[in-house]
Amino acid sequence: MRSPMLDELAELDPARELRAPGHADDDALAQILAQPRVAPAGERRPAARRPGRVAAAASAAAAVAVAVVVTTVTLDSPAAYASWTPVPDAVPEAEQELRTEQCGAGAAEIVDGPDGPVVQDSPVEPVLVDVRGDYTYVVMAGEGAYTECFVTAPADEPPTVVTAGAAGVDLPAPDARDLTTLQRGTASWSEGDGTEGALTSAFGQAGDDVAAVELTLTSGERVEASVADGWWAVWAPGGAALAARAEVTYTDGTTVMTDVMAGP
Amino acid sequence: MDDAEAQERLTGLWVDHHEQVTRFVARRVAPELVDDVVSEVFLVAWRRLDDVPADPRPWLFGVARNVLATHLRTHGRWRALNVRIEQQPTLVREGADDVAADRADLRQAWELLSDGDREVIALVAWDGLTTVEAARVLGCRPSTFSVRLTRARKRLLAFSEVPSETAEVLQKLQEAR
Repeated sequence: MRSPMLDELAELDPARELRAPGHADDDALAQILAQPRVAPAGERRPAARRPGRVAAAASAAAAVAVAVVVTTVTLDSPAAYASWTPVPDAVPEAEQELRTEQCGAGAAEIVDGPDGPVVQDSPVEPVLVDVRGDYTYVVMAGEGAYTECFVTAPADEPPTVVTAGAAGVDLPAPDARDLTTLQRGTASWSEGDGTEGALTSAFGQAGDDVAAVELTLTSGERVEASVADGWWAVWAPGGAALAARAEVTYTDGTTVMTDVMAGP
Repeated sequence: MDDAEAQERLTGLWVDHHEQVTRFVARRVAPELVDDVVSEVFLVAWRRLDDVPADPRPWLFGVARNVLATHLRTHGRWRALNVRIEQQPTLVREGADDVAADRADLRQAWELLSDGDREVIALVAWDGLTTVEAARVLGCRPSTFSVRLTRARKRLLAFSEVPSETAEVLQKLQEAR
């Protein structure tokens, strides 16, 4: 089957010098072995990535039901997320639709096929749009599926779109005065060359009585989450940028402190 | 399979195949994503240990391909995995100008191939799979894979004989699609 041409092509293999032997005492393996063999609902994708070896947090990936889309990254700003604001911008619905049209309409799920694993799409649609400066963070949800979508749209430049999500998960509606956290932490897809660096995000569902959610940055600055139609979401520049505690304000004016970064 | 057996099985897969899976992934995705994707592959294996066949390599590559495809999915439209070629110029021995010229032709031809052709060739030339194994990775019959490989090789050969100026025009046309 091999030919001289294929042998010659082997010289152009970008990974031919790559050495990555697996060892029984690798931390990354231990992280995977510590995971339950049945994926829990609403599991988080990898959080902050450490360089060099498999990310420790990658073991928390919803490996049976995840999707990450990375399109061309064109950002080259020395001031990361310069136009970010601690309070989300009020944006007309028409502009919201414009900003979210790049986010697609499906969450991917890896399922068994006759010839091995295949990827299936579950439909989702926007349930919350959080706009801060040039950045739009969109939560999309459908039957047992959700995605988060981050759109960067500087003036006169093509948008950059990154999404991550999960399918085949339970999305039980919270009680009226409760919040659920579906995903939280440093988004691994926001790091790497050509991006503005790490960002921390969190989102989930909000009960009918929840009117507002306010968090605190690790720097001490207050950040107002977006709350709409039974969902809440927030993001901020930097890795691990959000403190775990949030102040929830109910429609009757009362408030309570709760831990929103602990996850489901 | 009890927990101890499962841990032993996955550890065996990790030790025996981590490097191969890492290379497979590194050929197809940006370096900063490799570790995450490899972890996801083995997490899928951990959760589907009962499905892992006796010859696990094609199965692991198939999982890796699906995880990668998920990562690279764009707006609901699937793209063939864009197998990357080595970006740095290959070191050429002194006096080996002909070899260097051949390699430049091959690099140029590779750039002109479709993503699908690149993937088929890479499974054999770089991932070292047999036709049967590569067919399992792509989820097609071995005979189908053989036909695709033959066609891809013919196109690679044809492109390698295209004059440089023509190749540049073709490449610009491809990029404009």
